Amino acid sequence: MAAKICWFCGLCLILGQGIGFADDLPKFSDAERNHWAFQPVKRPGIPAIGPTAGSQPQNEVDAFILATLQKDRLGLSTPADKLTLLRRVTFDLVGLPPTPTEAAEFLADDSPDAYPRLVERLLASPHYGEAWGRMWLDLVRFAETAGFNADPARPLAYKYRDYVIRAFNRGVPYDRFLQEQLAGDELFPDDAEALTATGYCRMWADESNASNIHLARQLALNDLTGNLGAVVLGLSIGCAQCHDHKFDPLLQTDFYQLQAFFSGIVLEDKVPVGTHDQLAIYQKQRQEWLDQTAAIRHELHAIEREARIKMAGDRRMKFPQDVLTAIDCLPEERTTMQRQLAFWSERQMEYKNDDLPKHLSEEGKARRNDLLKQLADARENQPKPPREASLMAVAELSVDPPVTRLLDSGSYDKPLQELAPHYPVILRRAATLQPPTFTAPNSRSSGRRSELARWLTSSDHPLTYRVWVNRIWQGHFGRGLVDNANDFGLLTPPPTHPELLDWLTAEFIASGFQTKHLHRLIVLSATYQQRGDAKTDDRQAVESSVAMNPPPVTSLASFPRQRLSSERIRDSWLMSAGTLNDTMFGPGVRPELPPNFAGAANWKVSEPVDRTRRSVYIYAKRNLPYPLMAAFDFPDMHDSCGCRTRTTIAPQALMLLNSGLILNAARQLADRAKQEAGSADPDAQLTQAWKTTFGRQPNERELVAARKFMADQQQVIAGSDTKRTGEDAGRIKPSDADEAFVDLCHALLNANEFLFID
Amino acid sequence: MGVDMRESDFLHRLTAPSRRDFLRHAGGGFGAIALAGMMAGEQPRAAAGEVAARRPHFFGKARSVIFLFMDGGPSHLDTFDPKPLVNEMAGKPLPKSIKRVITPMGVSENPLLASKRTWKNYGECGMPVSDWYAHVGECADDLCVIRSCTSDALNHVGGVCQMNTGSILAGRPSLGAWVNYGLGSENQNLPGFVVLMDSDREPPGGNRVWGSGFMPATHQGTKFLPGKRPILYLDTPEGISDQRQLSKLGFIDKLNREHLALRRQDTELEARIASYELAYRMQAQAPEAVDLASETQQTQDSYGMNDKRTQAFGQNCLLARRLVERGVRFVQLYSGSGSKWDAHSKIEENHSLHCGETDKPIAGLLKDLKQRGLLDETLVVWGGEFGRTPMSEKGDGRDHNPYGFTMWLAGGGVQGGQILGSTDEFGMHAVEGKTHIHSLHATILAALGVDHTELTYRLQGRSERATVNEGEVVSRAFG
Repeated sequence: MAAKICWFCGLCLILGQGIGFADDLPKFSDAERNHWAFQPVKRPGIPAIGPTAGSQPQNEVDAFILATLQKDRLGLSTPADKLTLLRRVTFDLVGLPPTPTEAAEFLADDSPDAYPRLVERLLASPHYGEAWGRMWLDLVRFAETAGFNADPARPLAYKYRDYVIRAFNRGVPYDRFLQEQLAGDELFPDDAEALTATGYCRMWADESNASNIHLARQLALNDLTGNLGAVVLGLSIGCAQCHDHKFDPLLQTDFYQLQAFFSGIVLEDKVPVGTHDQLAIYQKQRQEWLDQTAAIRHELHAIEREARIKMAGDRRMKFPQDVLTAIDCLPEERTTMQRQLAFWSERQMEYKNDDLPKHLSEEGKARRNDLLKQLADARENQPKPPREASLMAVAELSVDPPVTRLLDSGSYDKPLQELAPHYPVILRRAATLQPPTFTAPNSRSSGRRSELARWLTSSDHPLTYRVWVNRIWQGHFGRGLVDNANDFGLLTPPPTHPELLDWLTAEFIASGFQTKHLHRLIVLSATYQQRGDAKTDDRQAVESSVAMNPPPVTSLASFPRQRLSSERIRDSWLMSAGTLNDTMFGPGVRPELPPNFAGAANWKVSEPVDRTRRSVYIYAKRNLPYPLMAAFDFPDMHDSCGCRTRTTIAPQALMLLNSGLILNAARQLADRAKQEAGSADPDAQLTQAWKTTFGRQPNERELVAARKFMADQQQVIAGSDTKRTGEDAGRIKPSDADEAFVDLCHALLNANEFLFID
Repeated sequence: MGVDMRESDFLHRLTAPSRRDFLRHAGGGFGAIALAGMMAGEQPRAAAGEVAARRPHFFGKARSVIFLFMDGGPSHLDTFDPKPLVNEMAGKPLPKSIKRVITPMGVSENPLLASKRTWKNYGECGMPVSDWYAHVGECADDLCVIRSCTSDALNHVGGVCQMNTGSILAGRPSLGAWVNYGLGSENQNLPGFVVLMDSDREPPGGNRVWGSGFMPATHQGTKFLPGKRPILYLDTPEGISDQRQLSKLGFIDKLNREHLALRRQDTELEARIASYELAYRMQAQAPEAVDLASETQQTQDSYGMNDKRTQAFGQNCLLARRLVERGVRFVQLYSGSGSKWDAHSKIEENHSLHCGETDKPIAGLLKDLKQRGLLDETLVVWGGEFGRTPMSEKGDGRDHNPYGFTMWLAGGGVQGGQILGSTDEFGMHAVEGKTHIHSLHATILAALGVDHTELTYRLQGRSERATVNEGEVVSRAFG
């Protein structure tokens, strides 16, 4: 009868009474049962629309948008000009600005399919995965370190990032993408990509010197469960960790039943790759070898254990007996739970294996050497897996994972009744009322995660695909049809265009879960191709429109302007400077830190060639997000980020004005513009600088202003150079024009036109 | 130019088109526009009656606020609200007469945990303060301790969010943003709302807790970095003269204004233009403002900067004084950012550390403000998102307690040396003079001379208030 409260989720005040049992279906209210997001996706008809001024509809997306606009006697704005559209769609699909050559080609191409062909080219670009994969990395709180005080490296984590980028580029269907990440080892054991994908299951932040191992294990599972709920289901199920959800029909039992699908995972950094049959043979041979060598290994382990216990000394004091037993157990004989406990504890023993003999008697040393030799000989016959890969992966050890229990108030040390893996009650249907049964894919895995993946990706799931479609929409327009991309619960306002969301979802499912199909539908729509907010050459029109009450951004009566993300800002500078190194993949790189930056000791700067890699490859250190990126709202890598915040503060401007990185980019841009202008004519150089940064020619007003700035700035430079004395004082030198041009380029890199997409 | 930068009244009355006009015609470009002007009037205001900022002497006379936020929830029972009965009955549960509450970790039936503190009555007022805050105790005659605060949140995310924004759900503007919006900055060269942290971690909820919510972007807090260099890139690069930098900025400004002229009103674009103006002015003044080396050794020592334990928070306190001295409206300092005060277990260890880190710096700040005559115009607020329970957790810790906890105010016209409100004899519930966070916010605004019922922001046809249409000024705080 004790009511439960949560101190994690931030939502609840006082919660209902008692804990519902798994088979004691609670009485959800009608409002909860009928909540739109829990209803099956139904493909709606295409609404009829009347004649419209402005952009004419191009596809079904426009029919839905126009149908709503027309209720308010509105229409789409006129089509965007080609250059604006080129810049918009290029940034959008590949995260980079168009090159001047690309711009020239597109502008010169008058064929009716010029735009669709552009879209196809961009979708086929390897940079597409870098742009859109980043969104997934935000969601799964990707990092290459573990976080907390020590923030130790996870040296293989980058392979997961590379997997995500490749998966987007290869067009892996979304259902398969999820299946790989949740259960790649069970479903596709012969596909190294799918095994890499399982890194998702261990992306949680982790305290390297956790003193409470059972708590650490529970926190990791909680984090994974909460993340899965937010990312795939779009539900804040993490809030049901200590109590039933305060606002959504999610029970505390739902949280732990969802968690139970993962209770058997162990972390592996080296995994065998092969079909289930191949692996079954390998495991059988391996077991035989282990049996043959059991006597040697056991005796060796017994000798070494004594030495290790001495080496660990006081460090063992803080752990309870079951943890110590797990540590002291032969690694290949640990149970699943022991593997899990040993993961968090063994590393804290700080064994130095080289020191091991120091802690042995002479007799012990001799015997150990003898056994090591015997084992080395036996390894000659040790069976090998078909293939092996070094990855940050998960696996299971048994068909029978550790039990999951409901935890009183979410406390790891207050276990209540055992819970079987099951889906959240509100999402159960007639066919899934009973807890699922599992088919073990082999003798070492429960099949639980495969079952979960199958359920999540079944084509009639009401949430999985709606949530995904909404994320893609948000990626294109800056705002989702549902405002809170990670929470489709009752507190979030319903979709602005519910029928459009369902139509797109149905279309996505029918396409075989092809994300690129969604991109096409969206970017080929007139809604996407229309002008931005009253962008016009007519100043009078702007003045009068200000007085009007503009329609809300979500109605999409014009294309919403967006500031570039931190990655795009940095990549664009490098691109304008002509120094962007577009090498893909590999361990994170570390570009220069600001001078005197406090965290510099933990940041070994990469070789110059790697410092200009695309931002998605910057070392993702949880406790030291790259300052330039952090300043422009790169998300905290501890939590899932469903939509980045967008701050505008003066320190950003200081960074853009005074950072050596950007000044350097301005200098390189100036050199490049001069070279590419192919002429000493200042106007040609100005024009080239404009084209390289804004992708367009300067207009006459801008040219006049730029010429004036160049002239004034030379005066300023000459006048403020204290080294010029006597006759030279204030006199302009030829190099001053170069410097003025650098300043002009620097200004262009700071301009709103450069940082915002119309 | 000719625009009085403090005439925010006038600017708040401007309607959008005329403001745009004002922007465009305000002269020769860069640096000509008053920041307060940029920050004001993004929303058309129909009537003068809705004008937000006033400078009447509504209650207090504060010009600035320094909010000392003990992130994670400090124990009132071990600092400012002694409960001898808890010690007498330690080991037993709360008597039945005390209403049971829900706590995050379910400790309502746990035995009471004795406070190991020793208490001393300080000042002429004889205010009891524990040995954990002995230095602060010396300032007792300046403190107005409110022992009866309440919050709606049981957890950190909701609690920190409510203490900052009035709501446990994210999305509303923070109090600092409201003040920045309502009063503007008195210093064109520094942000009006600055946030300081003593570690790399942010409080729960991250930068949203000093965000501007539904208000324009310019009102959000500006986070300074922990450590000796709170603002990166303050210096113009070597070899680039001030004139050259200014002239370049002028050109950026020109590009941005041309760009804006062709687009519909957009607070983000405008905020970015304003951020460059502020950045330039910060370059001129912020290095001096954040240069703690110019303070005497004696002053630095008085903030505890000479002691490793108090160095980080002491540095931030001194920086806060320098900022308000220079006209920054709202400075928020997090101690233990990232919920480090959250003593579910080992409260002795936890609070010894965090009180130890903050005691001397806070006392140093109060004394320094007073000595400089700044305390009258600076409201200092101390507290966390909630207090802690008299019941034990895990044997030696205390759980969250939003049902009754202590915050204190000092300076800004607040009458010191008084204790307002009370909790029951176990410190579990506020019983007398309950002060919800909305009332606390109303009181902070009142100290700034702002009537919380009149500071409004039009949102989709509705007038929004910082206090969410609730809360009452704790008028006794002003004597």
